[in-house]
Amino acid sequence: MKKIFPCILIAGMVFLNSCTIQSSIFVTEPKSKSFFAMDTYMTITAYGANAEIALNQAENKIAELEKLWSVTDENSEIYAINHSHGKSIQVSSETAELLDFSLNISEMTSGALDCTMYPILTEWGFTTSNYKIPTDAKINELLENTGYEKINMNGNNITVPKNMQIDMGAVGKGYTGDLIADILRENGIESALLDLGGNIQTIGIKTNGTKWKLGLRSPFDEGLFATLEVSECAVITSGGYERYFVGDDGETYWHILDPKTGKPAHSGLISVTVVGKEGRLCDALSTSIFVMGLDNAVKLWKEFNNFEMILVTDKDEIYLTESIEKNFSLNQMYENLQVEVIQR
Amino acid sequence: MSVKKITQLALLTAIALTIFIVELKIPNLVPIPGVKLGLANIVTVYAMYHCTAKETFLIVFARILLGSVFGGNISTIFYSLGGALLCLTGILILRHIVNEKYIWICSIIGAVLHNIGQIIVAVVMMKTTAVIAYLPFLLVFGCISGAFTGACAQMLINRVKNLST
Amino acid sequence: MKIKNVLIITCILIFLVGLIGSLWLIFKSHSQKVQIIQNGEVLYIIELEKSGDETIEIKYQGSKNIIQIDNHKISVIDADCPDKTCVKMGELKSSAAPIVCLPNKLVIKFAETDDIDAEVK
Repeated sequence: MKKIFPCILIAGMVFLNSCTIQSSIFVTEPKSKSFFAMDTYMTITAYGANAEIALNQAENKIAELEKLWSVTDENSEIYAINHSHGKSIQVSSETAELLDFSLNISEMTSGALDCTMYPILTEWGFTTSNYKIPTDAKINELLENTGYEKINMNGNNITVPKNMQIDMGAVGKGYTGDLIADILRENGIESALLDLGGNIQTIGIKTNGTKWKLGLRSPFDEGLFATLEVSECAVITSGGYERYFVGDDGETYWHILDPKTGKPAHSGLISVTVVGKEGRLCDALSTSIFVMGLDNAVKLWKEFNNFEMILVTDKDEIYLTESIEKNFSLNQMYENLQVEVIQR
Repeated sequence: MSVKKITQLALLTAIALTIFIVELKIPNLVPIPGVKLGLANIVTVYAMYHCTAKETFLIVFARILLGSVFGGNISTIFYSLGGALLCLTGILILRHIVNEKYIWICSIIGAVLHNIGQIIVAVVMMKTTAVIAYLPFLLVFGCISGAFTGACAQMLINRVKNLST
Repeated sequence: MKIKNVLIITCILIFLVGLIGSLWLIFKSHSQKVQIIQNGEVLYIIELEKSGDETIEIKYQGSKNIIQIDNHKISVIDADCPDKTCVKMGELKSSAAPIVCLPNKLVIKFAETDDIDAEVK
């Protein structure tokens, strides 16, 4: 009997040794995929047995959606609509749904979002990076051929008047996030982080049981001004810092245009972050709230009650809605910023 | 201290040192700093129950000092000293309440204390708390190696019963 | 006899705490930022994901460690200490096992995961 004791000990030791050496095998490694699509760099990270398959499906889906919605690709449905010369075009259900959603948001925000601004964006050079300040006369002339209400939808048949062009830039990526999240969920993924060029969508919580920690890009500099902890939702920011140029007159012109003036929106907000269940809603609202300004944003929030927001004004104040206050924390460098909580 | 006692202590130190040097030659299976069987502690555990506190300290410190000189790794002497100090203090209290028959319990607790001592020294020496990450591993391996050396010491005691003074 | 039981239970508890702690550390997620610390001072912070292949030599009182970043993995490839535990430890894999060179007071570890998961922009 006495000899068995040390034998067991030695056996135990050898077993444990091999455990530690191979321990990395047991660790649930996240599967991650990064690629260029829709003019940005996307990274999708998923945890779970089917992660690899799900990620491949996701990448294929994104490529497929990009083919549908690209404004420049001659084979895309958006291109077909823009070159229809007023004729009705039949599109896929995805495109129809996206456009329908975009039009609904336009209604909801009284036209702060308008998918027909593409010709004016091009005139400013935001689509090509050949920036220039158009004359007022030119803008007014182009404004004649804008207006979301002129789009006619009949099921999957879409009619856009002659000389009008649409683009899905303000909702496309958010909608893509929703579709990709669905694909991951269908594959049984319970924890994932989608970074579609800075548009963040999360599934579940992290595998270690904590919420996802997101850094919010500062509109003042290159840093991150705050941290937001979230689970199972989308977080999307619109800001003047994303794409802009400084004109010959020394003024800064950014890419978010006010559909009413055809010029960069100056509502007093310089960064708008929207948090919500659906990526499409967050994407569309972040753009439209940037155009609408603080007061209208608060009205919208009280009326619809289906999103949360963090607004930064040009007076260096931060406004956030009450439900996300506890998940929000300013980073050290930006502690002097004034934070106001918007109550219901 | 009688000549007989001195001889006995010298003999124990020599045995411990021999085991220590031999163990250095065994490749370390687990590449974690601080993890090893610590076979030399068979002698320490034995001495705990057969010598006075002072004598045990002498044996252990002589072994550590000579061990690091012969082993060619003087820089790690502080880790050994820190570990040994905590371990010895712990066992010196325990030996009054634990019968020699259950020497392996003392051995386990001693080994764990040794590892904790090592970590404390490492935190002070390296001025970073990063090394605390090793504590859980060291606890596990401390238990195993402690049980092993304890079992060895038990066998040793059973066999040399007649020889002991 | 009672004391004996208490002590045996203590031993088992220590073992279990160690085991659970080890597992927790192994499974704990970590950032991609690696800190190289010597004598309590952070010498380098390296973003493994973005870093190219590199070799860093770190001297300490006449002895040195050679750290290599290869294919976004960091390891110590040579050291002139006697035990070379740091070299044997191989690549830095988990936050549970920082690469430690006791004689040269060198620690290579993942930075605490206070880091964010993604940037909203």
